[in-house]
Amino acid sequence: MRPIPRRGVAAVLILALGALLVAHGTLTPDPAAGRFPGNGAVGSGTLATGDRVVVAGTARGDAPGGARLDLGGGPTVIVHGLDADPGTDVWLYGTYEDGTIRSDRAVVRAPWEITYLYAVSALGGMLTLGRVVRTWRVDTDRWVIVPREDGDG
Amino acid sequence: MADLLTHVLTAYVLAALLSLRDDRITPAMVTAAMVGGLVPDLNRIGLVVPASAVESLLGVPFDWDALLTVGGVSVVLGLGTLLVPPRLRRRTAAMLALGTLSHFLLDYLLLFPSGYSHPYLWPMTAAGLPGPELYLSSARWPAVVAAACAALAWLANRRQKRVGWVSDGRN
Repeated sequence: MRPIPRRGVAAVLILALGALLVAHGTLTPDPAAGRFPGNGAVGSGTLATGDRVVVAGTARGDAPGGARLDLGGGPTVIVHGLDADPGTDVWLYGTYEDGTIRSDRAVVRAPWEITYLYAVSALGGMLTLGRVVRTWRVDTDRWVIVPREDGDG
Repeated sequence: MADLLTHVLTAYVLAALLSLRDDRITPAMVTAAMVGGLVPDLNRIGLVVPASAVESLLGVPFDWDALLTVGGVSVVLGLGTLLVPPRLRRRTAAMLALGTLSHFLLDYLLLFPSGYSHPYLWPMTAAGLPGPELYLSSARWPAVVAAACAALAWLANRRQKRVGWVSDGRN
């Protein structure tokens, strides 16, 4: 098989990746497709009563009939039907109602659970990196990476 | 995402089990599967470089979550495959894809409050998928199960290596 012209293919793939990153950025919420408005839409006030939303934030104490939710960088909203201790991490699906949200389903997590997620993920990343270094090496003559197990690459 | 440890250990288990049957799946190729297992979570670059910062810099819409879709991942795997010599490309691509596929399967099992997953199949479809909602990304048991399976796969590999040496008369 004729070797693939590497530089040309790489250039095409990098352009394609850029195009995908931009194209994904143009996706807008579409509840019928399971994509709901988020923190940004609540902050910009573009929602109408009855719109369904998926938001995430930190609980900031009780409010009448629910709890106040700090949408990280966005506004603090009152969420009816939410039972969450102050400081807990909240991720919820709900219905927008005149500046408040009625929680339909909430995932409430203690801060340590999020810390666990990132710590154990970092461990997974380091484990893989360690194995990459142990089983592959860079061949600077041809600018490829080759398995250490075969000396000729 | 389930946690990244669960993802790379699952990729390790699948690749290590396949290596019992196929000599072409060397330790380096097992590593390739593990790398494939973490590729979809490259969207977490957004935690360091927010998409909004890129948008204001470039003046166009931008979303790192494209990397957490089959479209984005396919291109990244294509680029990764170009990093190895031509004779290893097909094998490396297969192992990267194995790890990535297992990543998407594990993520599909995740619980989402709306009941719809991230649109993993984009750009084929931009719709979220209703999933079985088995666990949260912060659940502890998936990593425990994955670690136990990885230990068994590691032992099976070590045992086969020893038996192989004996039968080859090299021991």
